[in-house]
Amino acid sequence: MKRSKKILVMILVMTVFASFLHAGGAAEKPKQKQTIQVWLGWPGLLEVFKKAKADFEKENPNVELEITAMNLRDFEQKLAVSLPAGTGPDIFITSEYIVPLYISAGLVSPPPEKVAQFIDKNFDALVKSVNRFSGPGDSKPRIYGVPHIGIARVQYFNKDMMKEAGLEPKAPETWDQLFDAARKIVKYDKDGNITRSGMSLRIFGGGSGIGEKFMIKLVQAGGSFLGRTADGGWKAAYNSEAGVDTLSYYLDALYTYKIDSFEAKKDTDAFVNGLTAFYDRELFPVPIIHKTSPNLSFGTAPMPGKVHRGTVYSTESYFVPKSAKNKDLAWDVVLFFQREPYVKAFFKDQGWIPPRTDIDFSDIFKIYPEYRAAFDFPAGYRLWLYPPLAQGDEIITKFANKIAEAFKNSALAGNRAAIRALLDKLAEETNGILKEAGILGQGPIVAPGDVIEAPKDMGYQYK
Amino acid sequence: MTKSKSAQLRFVYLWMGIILAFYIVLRFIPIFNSFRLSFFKWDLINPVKPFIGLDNYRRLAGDEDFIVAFRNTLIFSVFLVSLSLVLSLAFALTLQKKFRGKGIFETLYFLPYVIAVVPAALSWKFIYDPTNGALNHILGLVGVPKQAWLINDRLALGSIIAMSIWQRVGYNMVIFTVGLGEIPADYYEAARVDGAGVLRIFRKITLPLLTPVTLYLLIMNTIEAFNIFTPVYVMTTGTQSAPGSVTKVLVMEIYQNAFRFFKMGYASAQSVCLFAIVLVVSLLQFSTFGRRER
Repeated sequence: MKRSKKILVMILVMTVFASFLHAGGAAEKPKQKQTIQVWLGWPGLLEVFKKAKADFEKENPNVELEITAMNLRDFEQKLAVSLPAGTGPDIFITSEYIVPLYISAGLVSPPPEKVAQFIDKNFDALVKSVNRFSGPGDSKPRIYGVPHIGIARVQYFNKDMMKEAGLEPKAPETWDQLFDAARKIVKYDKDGNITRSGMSLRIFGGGSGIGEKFMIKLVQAGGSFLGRTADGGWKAAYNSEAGVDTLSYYLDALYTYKIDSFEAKKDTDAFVNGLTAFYDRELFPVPIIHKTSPNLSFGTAPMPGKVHRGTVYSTESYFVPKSAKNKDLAWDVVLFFQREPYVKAFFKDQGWIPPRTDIDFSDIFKIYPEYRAAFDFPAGYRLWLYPPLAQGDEIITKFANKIAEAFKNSALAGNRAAIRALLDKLAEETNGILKEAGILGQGPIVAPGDVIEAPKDMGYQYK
Repeated sequence: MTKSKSAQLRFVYLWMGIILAFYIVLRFIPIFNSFRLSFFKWDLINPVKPFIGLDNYRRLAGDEDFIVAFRNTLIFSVFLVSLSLVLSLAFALTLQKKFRGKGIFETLYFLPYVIAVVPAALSWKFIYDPTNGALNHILGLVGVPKQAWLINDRLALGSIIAMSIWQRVGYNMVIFTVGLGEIPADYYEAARVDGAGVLRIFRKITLPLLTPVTLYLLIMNTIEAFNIFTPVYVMTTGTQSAPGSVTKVLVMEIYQNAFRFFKMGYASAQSVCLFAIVLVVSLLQFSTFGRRER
């Protein structure tokens, strides 16, 4: 081969080699600016964060914030891979059922004193109690993150559809009232297919979402998903009469009364298009409905119940990993995001509830009175909390996949013995996961592991 | 060996060696590590990894979720590979004839292959929408009732197979076209002179001489089919998608165990199992078609 050709080939190969070395790497940043990376799994929040970023960088010209919002599952995966490797962000926002694994592995920094005092002074008791964890060396559980949101799911109801069916346009408070209303509202075409469902159930599409909605009904039936035994262990508790009532709720809706179906449009999409009368969700659809369907006459309310009225409550908090290069700066950024204009923007524009007791939210409630449903809990309201277990997501996801198969089985409708047998079988899998983790309890369940009574007053300012 | 030839060989070995070194670092070492990890219990977070021997593999045998995922992947692979090869061969044979607009057809059939998988899968998700999707609208014009393509558990997997065939056919067709072009025209001429009909020519000349190309496509399509993930993930997440484990495939099961349930050791065992399955299937295909070729 000619010498010149050899040289050309060598240059080409060296270029490829050099590109490998830079593969996946970011360009070098100018040394004079410090960068704080923030990761979150909710792209919808990015607009508010962009405003906060611009304001922070104006006040702190030597700091650059890189805020990355990605799909929730991608975010959780990225976090799982990067935190142990020390290549994660400087701040991440996640929920109380994801973070325990990282905290127990010593990968998350507890907040400094000034931040701990800020949390203690300005957040409600419930969000603080849900967010206590034990890391290596902790003698008792402590708070590791600054709460960002605390979310209780609510029921949505279509007032016009209720009036059309001769019903008073107010939210049902019991399962019987809900089913009666849904049966009067449902509509079918000439072939018997549902054209307007009475209620929209979460019966497919991604395991843990199905699981969460099932937990809401389970709480309302007087049950719990996991229970505690006398030795401090955990055990499946859903294979109970309450569990049978809960699965029967779905099967009756699908097959006995036919007020929903697998083919019917679901969720917020169905509700804004007038294709369903009742469904459960967080508050974020409220501003969407006001914007996209201003003529839709709807309301929100605390959930109905069979034994108790109740719902799911979960939180998201800001955490700073141990690998963050400048932890003090990272906590300063977190505190900046806690300023009133941004907290109110998250709430007003996005429907995510900031669990702050020091900020007056009454102006927001004037615009969106529907937000009250997540705050005005009736007496005896129950809250289901995600179990603080590293295996929580696995348990709930696997349970949800199996229960979604059960939703398809019309033969189970009305057959309580068969439903109980199915739940007992699912409980074997759940208990197997707990056993593998070394936390399966022995003996009977002595207390619910994931249900509490809602506080009478969350301490928020909005009345 | 002459001096210049020796110099050329040294040059080749040097640069092939560098590329091979990259391949070892980026491919072989991760594969070996995955195999090694399958004998440990590791949650991805903690540095401690207890050795548990064959426990992960023992667990696989009784894991219902893994068995369901394997069954779905097998069904997916069999239908995708067989239908896409048959269709693409049919298109390639048709496009052997010279006709006006042949280039446009070739381009149209190949276009789906160059579209990125995610936007393609998202588009098909809209096409399959039970209420507003184009497919139900078109079928409705001829009296077919609306179907829940990605929700009905009898249709969901088939709908994803159809989308994957659509994306795959163009590439297979191009490879078959190349293979068909290599068959000497004299063979067809001689066969026609001997009075052979179209079908006999196809069975006795075209198919046997296409064996190397067919083997290549069979193996490559099978490997890709067993590794299917993106279209399934994109089309089955959200509130309008198939219930339960109807569309769960092996790579999704591995991904879930590794990155959602933090069971890296177990996920590694599942990966090794997938590797072994694909290897066995590929070897079987080699041996069957290799014999025919000889």
